[in-house]
Amino acid sequence: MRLARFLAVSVCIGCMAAPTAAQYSFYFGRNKIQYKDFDWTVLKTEHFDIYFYPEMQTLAEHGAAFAEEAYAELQNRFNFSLTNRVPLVFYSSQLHFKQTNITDGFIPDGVGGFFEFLKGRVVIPANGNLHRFRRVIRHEMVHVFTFNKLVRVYRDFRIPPDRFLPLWFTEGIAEYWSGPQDHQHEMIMRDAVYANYVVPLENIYRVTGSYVMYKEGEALCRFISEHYGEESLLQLIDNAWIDRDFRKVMEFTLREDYQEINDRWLEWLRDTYYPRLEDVDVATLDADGVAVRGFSSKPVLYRRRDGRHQVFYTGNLDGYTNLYYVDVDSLYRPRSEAQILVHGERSDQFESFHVLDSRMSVSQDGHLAFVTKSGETDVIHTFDLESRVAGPVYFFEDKVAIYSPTWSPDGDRIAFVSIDNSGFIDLYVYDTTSDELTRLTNDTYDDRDPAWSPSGQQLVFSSDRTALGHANAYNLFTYDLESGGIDYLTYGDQHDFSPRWSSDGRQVVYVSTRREADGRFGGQDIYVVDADPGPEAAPVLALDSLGALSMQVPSVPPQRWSRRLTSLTTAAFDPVWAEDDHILFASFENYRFSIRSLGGVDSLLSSPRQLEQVAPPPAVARPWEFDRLNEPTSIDKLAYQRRYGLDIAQGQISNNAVWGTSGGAVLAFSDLLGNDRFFITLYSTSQYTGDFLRGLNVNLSRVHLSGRANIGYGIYRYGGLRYDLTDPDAPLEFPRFWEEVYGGFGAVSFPISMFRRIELSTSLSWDDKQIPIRRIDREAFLLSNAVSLVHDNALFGMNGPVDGWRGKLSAAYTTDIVYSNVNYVTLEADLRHYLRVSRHVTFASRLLGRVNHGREARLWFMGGSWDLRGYPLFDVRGKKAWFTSHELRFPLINAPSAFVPPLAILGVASLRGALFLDAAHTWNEDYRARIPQIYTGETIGSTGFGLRLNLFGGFVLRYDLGYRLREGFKEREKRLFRQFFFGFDF
Amino acid sequence: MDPVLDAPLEVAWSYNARAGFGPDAPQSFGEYILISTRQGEVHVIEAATGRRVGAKRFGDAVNGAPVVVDRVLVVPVAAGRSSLVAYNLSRAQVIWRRRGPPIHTGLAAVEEDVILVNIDGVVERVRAADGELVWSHALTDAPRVYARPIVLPDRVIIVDEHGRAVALDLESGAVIWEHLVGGQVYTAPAAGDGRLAVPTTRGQLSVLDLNTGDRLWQFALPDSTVRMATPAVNEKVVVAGASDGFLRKWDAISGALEWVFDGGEALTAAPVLTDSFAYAGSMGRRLLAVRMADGTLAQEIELRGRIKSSMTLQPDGLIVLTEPRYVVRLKEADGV
Repeated sequence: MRLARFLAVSVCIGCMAAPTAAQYSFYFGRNKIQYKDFDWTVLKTEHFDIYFYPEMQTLAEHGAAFAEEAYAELQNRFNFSLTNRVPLVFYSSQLHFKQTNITDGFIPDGVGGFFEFLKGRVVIPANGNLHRFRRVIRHEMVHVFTFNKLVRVYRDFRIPPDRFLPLWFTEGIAEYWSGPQDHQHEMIMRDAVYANYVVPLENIYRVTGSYVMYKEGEALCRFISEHYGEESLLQLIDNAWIDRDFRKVMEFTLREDYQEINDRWLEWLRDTYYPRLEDVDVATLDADGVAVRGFSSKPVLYRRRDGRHQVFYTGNLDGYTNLYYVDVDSLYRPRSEAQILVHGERSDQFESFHVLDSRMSVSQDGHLAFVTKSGETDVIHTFDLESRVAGPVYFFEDKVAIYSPTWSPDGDRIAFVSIDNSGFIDLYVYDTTSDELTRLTNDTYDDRDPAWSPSGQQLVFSSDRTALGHANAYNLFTYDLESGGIDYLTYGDQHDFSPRWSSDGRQVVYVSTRREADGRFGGQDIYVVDADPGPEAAPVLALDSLGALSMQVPSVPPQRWSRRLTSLTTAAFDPVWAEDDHILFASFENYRFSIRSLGGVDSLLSSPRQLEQVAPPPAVARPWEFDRLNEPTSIDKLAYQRRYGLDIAQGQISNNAVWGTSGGAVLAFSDLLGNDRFFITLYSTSQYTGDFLRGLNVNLSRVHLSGRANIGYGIYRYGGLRYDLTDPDAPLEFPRFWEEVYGGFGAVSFPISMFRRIELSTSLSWDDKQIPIRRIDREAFLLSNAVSLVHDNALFGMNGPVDGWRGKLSAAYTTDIVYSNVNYVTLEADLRHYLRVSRHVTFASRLLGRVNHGREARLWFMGGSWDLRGYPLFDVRGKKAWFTSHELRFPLINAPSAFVPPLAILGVASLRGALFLDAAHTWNEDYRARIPQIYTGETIGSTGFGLRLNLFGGFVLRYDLGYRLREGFKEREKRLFRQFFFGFDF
Repeated sequence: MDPVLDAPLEVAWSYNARAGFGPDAPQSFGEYILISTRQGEVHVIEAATGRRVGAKRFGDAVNGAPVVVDRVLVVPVAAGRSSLVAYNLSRAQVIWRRRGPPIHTGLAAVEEDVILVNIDGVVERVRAADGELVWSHALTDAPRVYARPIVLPDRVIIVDEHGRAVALDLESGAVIWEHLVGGQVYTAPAAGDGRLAVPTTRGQLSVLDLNTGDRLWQFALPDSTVRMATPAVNEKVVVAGASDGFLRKWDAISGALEWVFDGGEALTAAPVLTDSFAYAGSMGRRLLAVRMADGTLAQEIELRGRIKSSMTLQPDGLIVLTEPRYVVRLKEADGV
């Protein structure tokens, strides 16, 4: 929101000039905060300008090597070279990435990076995993090549570049050419095939932008490559000029009917995945559900002192991610509905959870440790589960991201992994009693999911520090807290994640996925590995070298065994030992994460689905390292210098019977990092050449976004005829007058947190208003100051907010410091609350109060579809006003295309209904006497029913039908009013 | 043509053709140059001055090179209502049009006829004067053909996308020989001195005997993602660029690799050979003059855009097509 709204403030202030400052800048939105002052540096490689900050230089050097490596490969795949240097902007963590100004939108967890094609910028965060970092760089570079190649094709054929390839194809080819299919791809595709939610090619637009689309796109590109030849992928881009409809491009290139291509692809998916259905377990059939609604993950179990078992987990049932708990019986069946322990994503304290990355831990004395983002960094929260009281919160300077805290058995220490400013992830132990933080590892490997042994002597964790880690394998390791030694617990070309010790410390449960014979990853299953090798082999009677029988110890070293307990269709995550022969885990099935309990664990351990010896690991101190750019010289490494590029250039000419011809242009420039922005607006309302300067409107403004406080300032000159119903001096029947304004403004928006901010603005301008009909020629030198406090934690549904609340309190004072012609105060309070009655039903309330008081105070107005329904816009006017609106919003057809498929073609995304009641009252002094047809001095309102139709997921049509209420609701007008408009609900 | 054009070169003139170009080289036509554009136009330019003699639109896109047969210009159309258009240059009028599957490759002239391959993999010999079909041959499995036909005195060579090289009798269209080179072929092969050099998308270059279709030698890179470009062939050497940015020179007879020059950016256009130099256009906007003797760089000239099309060597100049839409003529630098 930040830029858009901040700019809105700036422009708004500028356009309305001083008298109206802060009157109409009512708006909401969360804040994108620049917590860190990045010291940007540019590293120049053969093909790239790499933007990074000094703390992450090593990571940037790895990234530089990855980028050049990707370039060399993609130059061959695309048979194409780039003629411009590519700006690559690196962040060392997701939390830093979220602060980028290169895009104005909020970046959720899980976004691996993006390519912005206007300036050709590629923006990528690291997340502690160099494999992932490398893959994302390749992914984005595929986008860069695709875009440049496509633009070249269009330009060669002189086709306007107003069409682009479908997203499934661009993302699919980017994934496909980023590397072999990973375990997540296989998990999604297997699940989609087994649960029958594969979206056919002709309907893939219905899942545009979803994770399923990415993975289906990758599978489609792999299918095209295998079936029609690898070269066909590039041909699809080369042939894009042939038709605007990509289906026809596919038919031309692959020389098959589109439906035939689709059928072949679906058959290919079935042939690939159906044979694997033999001898598999289905989690929903073989494991009981503990929490199966919505999205639930990262379970932990706690047995209260009163004997009750409770399962705690992170879940998203209604849009916000919260921390839930559910009481379970001795067989881990839920005994009641899940309850919220911690409300997430609504407060500064619990901004967001890392729902897929960070586990929780419960100490033996019942303290829950979990991580949320809270301001600049992640923090570890503790919560006493017995007393239900929040405990201390731990944060650590320079530890940006924190994952998976685990309590020591004595409850004094917490181990966790953290990404610091360098971008690498390492193991740490924090002693809560001495307030001492100890770093256990310090390298480039990806260490994850630590768990403390019951003895307190060891940590087990997952890491790619294995000798097979160069091939992206993850194994389990133990860290000895006394010696600092790290030893393998498992070894092999596999992904071993999420280990947890058994209560006796003899075994470790974890999940693992391995490649099958065809190179694809199989299901992610629950395994148990011995914590210690078995005993030495017993002596046996055997022939010695002299041929005599004697007792001998076989020369076989002690063995460690791993047992696979499941054979799941898709994937298990985060297993937790439970008492009574059970393991709790999160399962992924039917595109949903749920918490389940696996029973009969003792029997599964004695008769596992697979018993395997843990392979002996090689003794290599530092098994592998990724390539890295050689030590860059000072010539290659430069301080960042702002260079501005064009963002928007738009011109407009309009012709109006009343106003005549007018025209103008808007230009916007920004630096490469999007931190510094210039806006130039030029507009002329002049009717003839000699009138040009008199009718020229100019606004020059600059906005700085690199600091925590967003600062804007500018100068303006406005001149022309103005039509303003809110001006109290304007002629009543035709409120048109001439006005010239010269001035400057400044504005500061300071975010207190993601949800709250303070806005300050000031402007100083000379204003000349000429109203010949009323013989008014008023000059004023206006100083206007405004302050606002804004809060917004509302959760948006398809048609508008559905939960949370937002509000704004504003105060402004405008005065004429030379002529004393103007002098008034503005006060405004706008509060909106959204009560979630049920998952799909919301009761929304709005309360608005506004006062303008003083000389030449402006009028507020209401009416129209945005506030007071049933009354024409501007027909409710006054210097003081209150307004309230209440609306019950409910679904009529959810996912209408599922019920009426033709609606999908029309873009219908949802249809909802609303019952509403609006009420308002305005006061004036002598204004009504002059214009009696306006509604003022009485309490009026309306009530009725409305329809909300969401088209294409982002465009809402609103239709309201109701009765007007007059005279303090004593009268109801008999005639129904109908009102049609578009826009989101309040 | 005497292959003498010694570096350093300099730009003699530049011509704006208003659209991009296909992979084929410009056609020399007496003192004129013939250029087809992807906007469907054919331009006639005076070779000495770069002055436009004329330009006419024949369809929505022309991707392959047209030919001139007895003052009849025959244009292959990749997108448009007609797929083949004949234009009498003397009378300045279209004399016939043919509808049918689009033609994405260039044409080859044979006496009074033209040879074409359409997108359905059908090879045809058509009379230029009236468009009458002389013979037609459908290639096996109706493959796509991205390479312009190569005409020899008694046969025409077609190489399809699947890497199948076919020699057809010029008079009857009958198959003389067929050979699978291995690997997909998306760029034109080149012939010279009894040899046919076929580049593939899988990092290979196969050299066949034009008489028998037998493989004489093959070069294969370990990296199968590399795309070899159309080579240049003479009696002594084969020279080809590739998407990996390297220009390679082989002994034409033994296939021994003689030198490798690192051009930096992808080299996707066919090089042009003179006695002393190999001229190669790069995707990095550079024209490279590389010494034939030792593969060292003699000169590089930065042009206005990528060079993706084959070049044409003239007695005293080199015609280069560059992005976004320029025809450039280079000549030996004055005073050197």
